[in-house]
Amino acid sequence: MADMSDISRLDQPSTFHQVCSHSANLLRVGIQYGFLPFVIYLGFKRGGQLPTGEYVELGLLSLLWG
Amino acid sequence: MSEPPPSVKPTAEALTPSLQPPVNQNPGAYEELHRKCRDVFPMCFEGAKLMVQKGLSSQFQITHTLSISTANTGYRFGATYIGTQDYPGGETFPVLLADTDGSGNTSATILHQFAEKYRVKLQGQVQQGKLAAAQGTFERRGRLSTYGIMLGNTDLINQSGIVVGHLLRRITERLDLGAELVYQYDKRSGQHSALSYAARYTAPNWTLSSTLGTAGVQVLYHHKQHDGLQFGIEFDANLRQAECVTTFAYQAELPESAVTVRASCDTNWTVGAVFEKRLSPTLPFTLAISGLLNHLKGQGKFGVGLIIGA
Repeated sequence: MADMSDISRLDQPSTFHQVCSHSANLLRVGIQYGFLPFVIYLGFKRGGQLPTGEYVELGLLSLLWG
Repeated sequence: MSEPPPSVKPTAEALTPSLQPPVNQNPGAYEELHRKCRDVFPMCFEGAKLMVQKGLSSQFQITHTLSISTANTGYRFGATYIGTQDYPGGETFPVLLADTDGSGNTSATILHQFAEKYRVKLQGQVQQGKLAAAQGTFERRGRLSTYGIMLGNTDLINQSGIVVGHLLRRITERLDLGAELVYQYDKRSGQHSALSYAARYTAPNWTLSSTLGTAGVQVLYHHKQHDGLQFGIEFDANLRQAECVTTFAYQAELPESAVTVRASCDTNWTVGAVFEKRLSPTLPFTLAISGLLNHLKGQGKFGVGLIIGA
C-alpha cells in the first residue's frame, strides 16, 4: 500500500520559496515605510545651505511651506 | 651674396605629440533616443491640480501635490535628494526620489554613477500594500557607446520576469546606431523575445530618429526653427495591431510674456494643447491649462493647474 504519510509536506513551500517570499516582503516594507523617511533624513543631514550660500535652519515644519 | 635663411629649429613642444585625452562623444542613453522630439509634445492632464515645490537646500527638494480628477484625487508628497559627487556634464550623484500618497502607495528611485562610466538605477513601486514593480538597470557609458541591461519584475517563485539589453554606438559625428533585445519569460505563457534596431541622425537644427522592430516602426523628426519655436513629427506604425498614427506637435515660447505653449494634432482627429504662463516675474506662480479633444469620438478632457515654486 502506498505510503501517504508525507502528503502534508507537499503543500509546504520549499526553503528557497520561503526566502524569496520573505525577501520580497522585506523589500516592500522597506520601500513603503522606510525609503521616504530615509530621503528626508539625508536631506536634513546635509543642512539647509541654499545655492546663494545662505544657511537656513531646517526643521519638521520646513517640510511644509516656509 | 644673399644671406642664407635662418634655420628654424623645431621646439620641444612641436616634437612632442599631442597628449590631450580623446573627447567624450557618448551618444547618451538608449531610452532617450527620441527625447528631443518627445519633449515638444504636450503632456495633457485632467482635472484640477495644485503643486507646491520647495527647495530646502541645494541638495534637497520637497513637493506637495493636490489633485482632483476622475482618475486620481488626493494628496501626494515627494522628496528629492541629490548627492555631492559631481561628474563632467553637470550631473551630480546619487539621486534619490521618493513619492507617496495618503493610501501608502509609494514609488522609489535610486540613481547612482560609479567611476564616470557605470551607472545603476533602481526603481520600486508599492501599490495597495503589494510590490507592484521592481526594476534594476545597469549601464556602461563609454567614449563612443552605451551598453545597458535591465531586469524587471523578476519573480523567482513564479519564474517570470523581463530582461532588456540595449546598446547605442556613435558611428560618425552625427550618426548613432543601436539595438535592443527584450526577453520576457513566464512559467505559464512561455518565453517571448523581440529585437529592434535604432538610428539617429543629428544635424545642427534638426534630428531624425527611428526605431525598427518586429512590433512596429517609429520615426520621429525634430526641428528647431529658433530658440522660441520647435516642431516635432512622430510616425508610429504598430504591425501587430495594424494601426498607424502620425502626430504633429509644436512648442512656442514667448519670454517677454513668460508663456509656453505646446500643442499637437494627429491622424486620429485628436487635438491637444498645454498652456503655461508665469503669473508674476517676481513670484514663482505658474498657471497651466490643458485641453484634449477627439473629434472622431466626441471625447475630451480639460485640466487646470497652479504650480508654486521653481
